Amino acid sequence: MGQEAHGAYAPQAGGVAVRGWGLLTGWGTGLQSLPTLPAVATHGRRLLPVAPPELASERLRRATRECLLGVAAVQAALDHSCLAPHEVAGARTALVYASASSYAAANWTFVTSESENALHFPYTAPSAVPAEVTIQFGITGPYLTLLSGANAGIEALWQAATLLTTAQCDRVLVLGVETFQECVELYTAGRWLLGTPLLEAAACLVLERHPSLAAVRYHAEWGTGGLARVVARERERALGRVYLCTPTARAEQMAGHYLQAHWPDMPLVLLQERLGICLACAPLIALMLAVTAGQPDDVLLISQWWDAWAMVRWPESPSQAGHQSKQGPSV
Amino acid sequence: MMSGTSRQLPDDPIAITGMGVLSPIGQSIEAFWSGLISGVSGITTIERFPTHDLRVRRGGEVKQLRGTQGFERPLPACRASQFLIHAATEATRMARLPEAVAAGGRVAVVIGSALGGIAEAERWHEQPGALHALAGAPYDGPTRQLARWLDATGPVLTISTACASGATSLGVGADLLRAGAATAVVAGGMDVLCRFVMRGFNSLRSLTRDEVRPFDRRRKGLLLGEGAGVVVLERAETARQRGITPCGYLLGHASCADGAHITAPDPQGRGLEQSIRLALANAGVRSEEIEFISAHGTGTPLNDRMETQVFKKVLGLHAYEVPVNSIKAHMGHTMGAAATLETIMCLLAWRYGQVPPTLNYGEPDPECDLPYVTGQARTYRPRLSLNTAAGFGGCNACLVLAGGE
Repeated sequence: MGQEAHGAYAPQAGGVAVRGWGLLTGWGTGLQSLPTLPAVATHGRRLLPVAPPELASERLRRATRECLLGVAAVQAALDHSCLAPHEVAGARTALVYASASSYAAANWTFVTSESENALHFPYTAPSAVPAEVTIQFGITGPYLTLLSGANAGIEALWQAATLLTTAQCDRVLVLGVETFQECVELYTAGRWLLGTPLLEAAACLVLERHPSLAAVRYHAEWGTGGLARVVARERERALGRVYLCTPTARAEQMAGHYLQAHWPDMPLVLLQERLGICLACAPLIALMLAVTAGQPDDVLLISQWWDAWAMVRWPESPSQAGHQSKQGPSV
Repeated sequence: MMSGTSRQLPDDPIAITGMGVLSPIGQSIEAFWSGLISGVSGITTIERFPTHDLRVRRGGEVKQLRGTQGFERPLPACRASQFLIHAATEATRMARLPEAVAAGGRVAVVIGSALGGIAEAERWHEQPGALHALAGAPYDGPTRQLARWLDATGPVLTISTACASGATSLGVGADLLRAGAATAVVAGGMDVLCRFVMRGFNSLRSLTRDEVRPFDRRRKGLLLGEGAGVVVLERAETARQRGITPCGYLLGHASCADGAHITAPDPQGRGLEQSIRLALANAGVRSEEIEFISAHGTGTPLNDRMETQVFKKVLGLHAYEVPVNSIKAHMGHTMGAAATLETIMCLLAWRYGQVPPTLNYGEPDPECDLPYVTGQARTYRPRLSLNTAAGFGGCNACLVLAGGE
């Protein structure tokens, strides 16, 4: 090896802790707004939209609803984490953004409009949501957007852990936004509205390095038998609970049956049944639920999108790594 | 001072073992390189869709997709997927990837794009058909098509940092290898020209009616292009065990935010500066070891001035000794493909000992005063290169590259 150390790629000791979070969904604000029996609580509604948050900012007057939701979720996460906005400004805070759908409205409106608009076009880019967040909070650290459908949430958690454990930053905001309302005719045509309700959501986790936690582990499989390979790989190691995040009710049913048959003693949380369809936000909400539950063992977050399965194993006792929120646990 | 050419590489770096190109100036590595060195321009009048209502009707359009006759299966209808498959086929053949897969390797796919499959949504809107055709319209549609084509078994990721996507995707691919999530990663960037993006840039009035003139005093804006660039990444030790000689190495990478404006780059270049500093730290390379810079160099007044300032800030006086080029004038700004194509250019410059020129440069700008390679290709063999990229939403990325053995 050369004279110079192979610097920041050398992993730092320890893992990643959840410091706090912010959550806005069609059910309301925070984890405490999530219903006990979603199927009953929907009252037949197939889309649970989120109203645009009222943000006192002249700068954001042209921003799209998904951008406003992203900014509001980050603000809520900072509040929950007892962090002032100036503490995340600068190069030591990273933003990792995940979405499967939030750009669709701006894209589709631009495609179908007769005339182009210089104020509209920039918001067709998926980077518009994280851009408004970085501008609002002055973030100039590591920054990327993952758009791998519903698996993007899992990938964002892994990327955040990578950025932290390679010391590229001190803190990561993992943000997911999913909106459906402006494109509802497309989702109707795609028969997405026939099953579990579509749940609009903006979810943000504040993650920090934690020296005494084990590393976050990521794995993904593409193709037939992907879930079986994930199970075969993980079932030999101690695990507290599995959170399953699938994009359709049928996929959840099939995967749920498989997990119950091949991993019969493993507690299983079906995110879609619990919340509705919120795609890339589902794993982020699952991690919030896991931290709140204070699992004594690792938890496994599994998501699926088309032929791809992705998972992260989050280390044990995540709640001990958190801090004393000024709001207390939001459940 | 240890020069980049003489320095040792770190233990087991990320090797680039295959490269593939589809561009307006060439549809293979050799054709692409020939076009770059000889100063070919791929800028033409756009013919594939109506442009009569646009201020600017030119761009780097791929007129006809060649070399697909040998494929065993029909290509998908999606043009973006076709581009990716074309470039990936060349890259995976060069890396002899099918052999690695047959031996049990886990192949991941990481693709960056500024537009994804939006052209499919546009096509569906113009001629509504079966709904399943819209499945290719999301950003990850072309990536999924490529993963199916390659029979990938590992992670399949779609990332977007706007026009820096082709650099960020390579960085994420390197992260996957270091995490042990795959044994090889097919990574790159792609975008296709369509009315959507032409109308958008038309509305922003950022396209020039003149030539694209990176770093020239007369520069007025950019032109768009289309293409795909794909590389195969492996750990160097894996490549060595397979008997593959790497084309080069990805030593470091970073992608950072400006936090300044929804479309324009930060005039201070904070995100780009941070990207370069982090990428150098990742690589364990000192700024004075850099021997060549492949700049984003779009030809817009703000970008080229900002980039020049940042290079001087990070490299100090050494910036005045390092050749800089931009290949945007050859083929337009190919958006998500651009940074991967430029990565390939850096490695070819090392292989062939020549640096392609920045076309259409004639009048120096006092604010852009670095040693740009202009006129003709320069005979020079840079081992350690910086490749910078930027895009909408304050996205910036930087790669630190080393030539192969």
